[in-house]
Amino acid sequence: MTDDWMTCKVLVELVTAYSEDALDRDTRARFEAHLEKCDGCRNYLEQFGVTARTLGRIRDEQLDPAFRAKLLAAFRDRSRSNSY
Amino acid sequence: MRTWLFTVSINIAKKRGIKDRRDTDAEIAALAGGTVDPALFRGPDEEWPGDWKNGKEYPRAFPETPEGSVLADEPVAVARAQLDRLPDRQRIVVTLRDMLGFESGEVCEMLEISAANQRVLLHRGRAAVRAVLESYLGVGP
Repeated sequence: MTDDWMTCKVLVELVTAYSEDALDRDTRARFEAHLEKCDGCRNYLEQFGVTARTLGRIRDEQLDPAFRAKLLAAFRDRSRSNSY
Repeated sequence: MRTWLFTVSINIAKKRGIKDRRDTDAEIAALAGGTVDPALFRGPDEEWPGDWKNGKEYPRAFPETPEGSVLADEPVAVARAQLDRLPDRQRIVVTLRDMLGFESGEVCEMLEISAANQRVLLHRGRAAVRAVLESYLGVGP
């Protein structure tokens, strides 16, 4: 492969930036050139998509009660300290 | 719930001082680095250093889970359990983005963080959840 080859180790750290369309043109081109040749990285990118969609299937009522309580407590503290 | 959490998240973020740390791009890249076990990549003395040891065998695609069956809920429970274990900053960003569907711009505004910092937190959080799903689905390294 060429000097321009993006390694798998680098690519895996850029999948979120890629999916958010936040890579510059050159980096995006190298990312896509890599994907064309690498089954493992295509699978990795797809796994990230499945992961995000799986997280999207968590329902509000499944939110950890302690986390929800922590958020709510902070909200109450904040409300109390505000006089308006 | 979404409106409520929107308000709450703003307040907790401010309270905890989740602020843009004004990292440079290079610092952010270094911070984001290492979400995958380095042992899975070829070493500096091997051919194609930094590539998967065997990209044909790993990573593998996640197997499809049967829709509408009880089984389909299990990966969601696995993901939720890992979400609960994330550091607060990652947990809040992943919850807002992936669970509640806020846009990146909205999350940056709510938490007063840069777009780059938001991406790092989202990436690290998703990477941790990906790893447990991979293991749960039996396609781990």
